[in-house]
Amino acid sequence: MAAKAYEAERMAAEQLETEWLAEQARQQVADALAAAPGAAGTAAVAPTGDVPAVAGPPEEVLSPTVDIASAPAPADEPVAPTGDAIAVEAPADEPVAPTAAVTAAVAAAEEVLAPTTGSTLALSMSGRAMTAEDPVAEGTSAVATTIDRPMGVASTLDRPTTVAPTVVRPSAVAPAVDTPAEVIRTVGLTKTYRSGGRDQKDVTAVDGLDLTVCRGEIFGLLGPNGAGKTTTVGMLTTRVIPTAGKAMVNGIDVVADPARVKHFIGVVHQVNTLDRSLTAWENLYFHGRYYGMGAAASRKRSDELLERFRLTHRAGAQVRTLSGGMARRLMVARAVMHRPAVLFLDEPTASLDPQSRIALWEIVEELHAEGETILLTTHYMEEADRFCNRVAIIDHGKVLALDSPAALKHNAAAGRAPVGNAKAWLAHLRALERSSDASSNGRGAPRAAPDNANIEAALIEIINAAERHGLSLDDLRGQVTLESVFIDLTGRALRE
Amino acid sequence: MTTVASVPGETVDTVKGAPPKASSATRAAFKALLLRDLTVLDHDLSEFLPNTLMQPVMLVFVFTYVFPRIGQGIGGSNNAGRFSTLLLGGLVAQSVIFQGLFRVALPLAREFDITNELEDRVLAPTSVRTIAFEKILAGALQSLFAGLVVFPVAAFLPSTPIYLQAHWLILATITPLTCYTSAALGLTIGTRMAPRLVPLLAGFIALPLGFFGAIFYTWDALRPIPWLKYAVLVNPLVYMSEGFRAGLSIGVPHMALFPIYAALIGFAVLFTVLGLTGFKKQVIS
Repeated sequence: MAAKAYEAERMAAEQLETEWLAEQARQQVADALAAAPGAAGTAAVAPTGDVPAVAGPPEEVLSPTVDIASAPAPADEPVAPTGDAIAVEAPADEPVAPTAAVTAAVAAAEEVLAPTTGSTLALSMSGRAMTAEDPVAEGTSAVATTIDRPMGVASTLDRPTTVAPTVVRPSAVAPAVDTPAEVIRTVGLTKTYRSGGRDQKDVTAVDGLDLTVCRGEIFGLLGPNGAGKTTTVGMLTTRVIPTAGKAMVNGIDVVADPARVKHFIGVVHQVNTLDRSLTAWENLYFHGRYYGMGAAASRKRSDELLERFRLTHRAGAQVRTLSGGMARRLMVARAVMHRPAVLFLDEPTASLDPQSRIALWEIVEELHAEGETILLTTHYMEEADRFCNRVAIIDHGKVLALDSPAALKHNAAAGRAPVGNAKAWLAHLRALERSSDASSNGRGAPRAAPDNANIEAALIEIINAAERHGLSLDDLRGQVTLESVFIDLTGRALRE
Repeated sequence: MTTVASVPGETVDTVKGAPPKASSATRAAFKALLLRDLTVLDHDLSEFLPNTLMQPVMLVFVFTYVFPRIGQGIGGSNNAGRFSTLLLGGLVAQSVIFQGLFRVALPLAREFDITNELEDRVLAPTSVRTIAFEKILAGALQSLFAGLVVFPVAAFLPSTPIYLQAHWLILATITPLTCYTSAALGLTIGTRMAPRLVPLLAGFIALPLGFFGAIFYTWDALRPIPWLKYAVLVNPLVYMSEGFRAGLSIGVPHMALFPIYAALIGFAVLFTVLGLTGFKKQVIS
C-alpha cells in the first residue's frame, strides 16, 4: 500500500520535474552550470557531453564526482555504512528508455532496501533520454530517491524508513533573471545583554551578524538553542534593540523607524499568540484593521484567508478551541493578512503532527510561489534542506556557514566523504557478494537487523538490479545531510 | 499597491507599496486597537456587569437599606440621608478605579506572563507608546462605563433620601480625569508588578485602596486621627471620592477643588509615565 502510494508520488514528482525541465533546461541549465562553482567537475562526469546531466537537487550537479579513470580504487575499504549514494547512469552506447529503466531500478532498489529499515543509504539514480520519441528527449530525465535517516544514530535502525521523492524546486535551481532586491540586510548586528549582578558576565547573544535576505527567497536561520536566532529575529521585528550594528527591513532602519518596519513584516511565533478574546475570524479582521485596512476590505480578506487556509468552518470559533494545526494556520493567515514584504516563521511546525506539518508547508510553499519572502527558524533540518533557498547556520551569535543547503552539503562532502572509483567499488562489492553468505539472499528476503554486511549486500543487489534494467554503476559518492553539516559546525554538546 | 516580480516570468500581487503616513497609520492602528478592546468588552458584558455591580449593590443594600432599618450605627437613623449621600460619590469613584485598574492590569499580566497574545497588537504598525496609550484609553472608557452603571444603583437604591445635585462642570472634568488616572494606574501595575502577584491585586491593593479611599467617610472626617488623615493622601481614590462628592451632592463636605484637581493630574501624569515606560520595558528588550 505504502509502496504504491510512494510509487504514485514518485511518478508524479518525476512528471512534474520532467515538465519543468523540458521548459527550463535548455535556457537555464547551461547558465547555472557555468555560474556554479565546481561546474567543470560536473562536465567531466557527464558521460556524453551532449546534454549536461542535471539530477534534481543542485548537490548532484555540483558534487565533486570523480573522474572515473583517474580516481583511486578503494579495493580494501569497507563500504561506508552511512551516507553513501550511488548514481547509476545509462551507458552512452546502450540506448534505453531512461524513465522506465530508472523507475524499475529504483523500485528494485527500494525493495532491496525496504527490509533494511533505517538504513542510511542515500540512493540516486539517473538515466538520460536517448531517443527523439521519448517524452523527455529534449531535456534530461532524472529521478532521485532518498532513503534517509539522521546521521549519528546508527544503532537504532528499527524505525520505519522514510521514503520521499525529491521534487526539484525550480527556484532552487533556476538562477534569477536579475539580482533580487534585498528585503533584509544586517551589518555587524550585535546584541549584548547586560548582566544583572557583579559576578555575572554580559552575554553577547548576537555578535556582528551580517546577513542579506533577498526578495522572494526562503531563508533559513539555523542554530542550536541559545545560538542567537530568536534575538536576531527579535531585532528584525523591532522587539529587541541592537547594541551595535545596523538592521534594515525593506530599506528601513529597524531602530530609527520601527513603526514603519512593522508595516512590512508578518510574524508567526512558535507559541500560540492568537488573541484568545476574539474569534478566529475576528483575529484576522482586527489584524487587518491594525494595519489600516478599511472595514469592508478587512472583512473580505478575512473571509478569503479563512477559505484559503481551510478554516472557514471555524470562523466563529474561539481560538482556544482550535487544534494546534488550525491555530498555526490561523497565525500564518493573520501574519500575511496585510501582505507583508517579509514573513518571519519561528519554528512554524514545532509540535505539529505530520498532517499539520504537511498542510502548513503547502501553505508556505504557496506563499513562496506568490513571491513572499520568508525568514524561517527551525530545528528540523530536513525542512530547511527541502524548503530553504539559503540557510545560515549560526552559533554563539555568529554566522558559521551561509549558503544554499546543497552547497553546504557539497562543501562538507568535498572535505570528508569517500569518493572512489565506481568500477573498483563494483568489483569489490561483487567479491563480497561471492564470499558472503548473507549476500546470497534473494531479493526481498527477510533480513536481520542491518549491519555493514547487510548494507553491502543491499548495495550489491542494487547494482544487480540496475544492471538487469540496462543501467550500470557509474559513480559512488558520499552524501551528507544538512543535519550532519549542522552538527559538524555546532558540535554535539547539549545546550542547556 | 505595487507588484513585485520575484520569480522569473512571474508577477505577483504581494505587497507592498509604501506604507501610509506615520500619522494616519498611527490613527488607524489606535482606532482599531480601541475597537478591538471595546469588542472584547462587548463579548465579556455578561461577566463585566455582575462584576461591576456586585460590590456596589451589596454595599448600598447593606449600608443604606439594611442598617437604617435595623438601627445599626453605620448609615443609621441619625444621619442616614447624609451617609447615603456621601456614599454615592465614594461608590462611583470606587467602581471607576477598580474597573480601570482590573480591566487593564489583569489582561496585561496574563498576556505578558502566560499567553503572549499581546504580540499581535505590539506589532501593529505604530509606536509602542501609542499601543500602551491605547490601553489606558480603553481602560478609561471601561471604567467610565462602570461608573455610569453604578451611579443609578448608588443614587436610587438606598431607602434613605439622597441629596443629589449635579455640578456639571466638575463632573465633566473630574469624571474623565478619574477614569484616565484609574486606567493609567492599571497600566502601571500591569506592567511593573510581577505577573504572578497581579492576581493578588484584590488583597494587596484593592483592599487598602478601598478602606482608606474615603468611600465610607469624607476625608475631612478623619480629623480626629491626623496622621491617618495625611497618610491617606497617597491614595488616589481619596481625591476621586472627594471629587465625585463635589460634583454630585450637596450638604456633604469635601476637599477643596484645587488639591483634588492638582493631585489627580499629578497621579495621571505619574501613572502615565510609569505605565508607558513599564509597557516599553515589557515588550522591547
